[in-house]
Amino acid sequence: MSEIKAKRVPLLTARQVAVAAVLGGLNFACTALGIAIPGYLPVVSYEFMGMFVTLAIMATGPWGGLIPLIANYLVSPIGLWGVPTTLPYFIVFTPLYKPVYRIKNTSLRVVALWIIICLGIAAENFSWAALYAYVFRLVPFWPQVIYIFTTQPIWLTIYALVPSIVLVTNPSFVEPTWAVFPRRAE
Amino acid sequence: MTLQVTGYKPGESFMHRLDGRVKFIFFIVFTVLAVSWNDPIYLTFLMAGIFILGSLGRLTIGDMLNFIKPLVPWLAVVFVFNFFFFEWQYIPPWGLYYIGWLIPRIGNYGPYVHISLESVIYGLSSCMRFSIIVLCARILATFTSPTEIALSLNKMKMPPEFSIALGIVFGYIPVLIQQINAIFEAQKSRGWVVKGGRNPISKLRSYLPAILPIVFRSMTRAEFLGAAIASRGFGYDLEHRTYVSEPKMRSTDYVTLVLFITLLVGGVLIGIWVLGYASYKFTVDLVKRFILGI
Repeated sequence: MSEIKAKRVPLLTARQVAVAAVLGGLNFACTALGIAIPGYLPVVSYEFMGMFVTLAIMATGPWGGLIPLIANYLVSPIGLWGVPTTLPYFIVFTPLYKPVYRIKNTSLRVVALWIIICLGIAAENFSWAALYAYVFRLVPFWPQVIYIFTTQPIWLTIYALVPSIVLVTNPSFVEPTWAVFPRRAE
Repeated sequence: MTLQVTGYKPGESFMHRLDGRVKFIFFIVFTVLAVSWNDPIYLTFLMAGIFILGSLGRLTIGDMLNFIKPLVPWLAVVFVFNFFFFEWQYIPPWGLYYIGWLIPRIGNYGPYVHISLESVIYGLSSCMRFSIIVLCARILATFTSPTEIALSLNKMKMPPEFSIALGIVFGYIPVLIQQINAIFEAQKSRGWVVKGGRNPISKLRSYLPAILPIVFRSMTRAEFLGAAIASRGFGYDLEHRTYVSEPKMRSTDYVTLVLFITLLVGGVLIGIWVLGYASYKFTVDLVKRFILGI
């Protein structure tokens, strides 16, 4: 009996597929049940997608983080435009998460996690403002940036609170065993 | 339940039967045209095209307007917001045709914020453009089942790991909704209520007693699911996956695809990037010439 070896190493392992899928499903389930925080502008509410995307990146890497993101934007009002717009968050957060996880002191680790999430959201804010200002041409860029940054504490809490609790209470679940470009184990 | 969440309406119409890949191309073509055109007249034609496609899927105009209805208050805010920043950002070389003030003179104060013909037309086109994008996204979701979405993405060369995960996302929603409801009921029986008033951060904190058990229980569930996926040989030979039913492009799909691509190429050619048409100035000129007689 000969063994067939796959030519390509999967970007996600079976566990990573499952974790990313369940987190993506949770995001949908929360949306379906109307679990969101009402915003200050009409029809604007703070949804929990960022929390699930952050958890998915922590546990499964950037490829896994894309699953809740794509699933969410496939059926969202602005459609797939939301996927590239959220990518700056991935670009900032992903490389910084591994060094943060390696910090031994728990309190310091949590603080560092909040800082890198804050940086990621800041990058994402600029990208959303650019989308609405230069692509959709709805509202000018700088006034929008100012408005979005006033909501930064709310987004930061949504993105970071639950992931930091998971990081403290169940660190093995969010251990970054993933690689951005996975290689075959020798 | 999944269908309610994604907005998919099962049916046998022309739009339902179109291949998922063609429907993705529809979304790309119409949204790219919407963002490259800036003139309400051009955008009206584009919107009419979407309404025609929607009616081919047996949606009524009312159904389609219902997709936009929840956005109306937000669009109104955007429309008014444009008056504040129009002159700062988009002042045209010929000067503006002023029609009034947003905030009239009250006593010794005001008037503030000019309203010009250009800013009204620009604001209108901004709102129309966003409505088109929303309509396209909703139509894609209404006529494409979650399974078809996953399969089509796979056929569009998305790695199978992603399409498998997306398939699980959509398939798992009812289970997770049940889980969330069970945890909510359990916490409510212990006296949990969502408090926090209008403060979003307090509101989020009041959700924590329910969200944490949901997340932790899902983590356990995900580990079991991962083991089940692995036990079925996930990642064995991803290049040669087989399918129970494989989507195939039919002649109608090819014809529709060619039509969409022709529309995209033609649309971009007459759009603002190449010839300078399809800008809001086109309608401004028409209104000035034929209505105001300037």
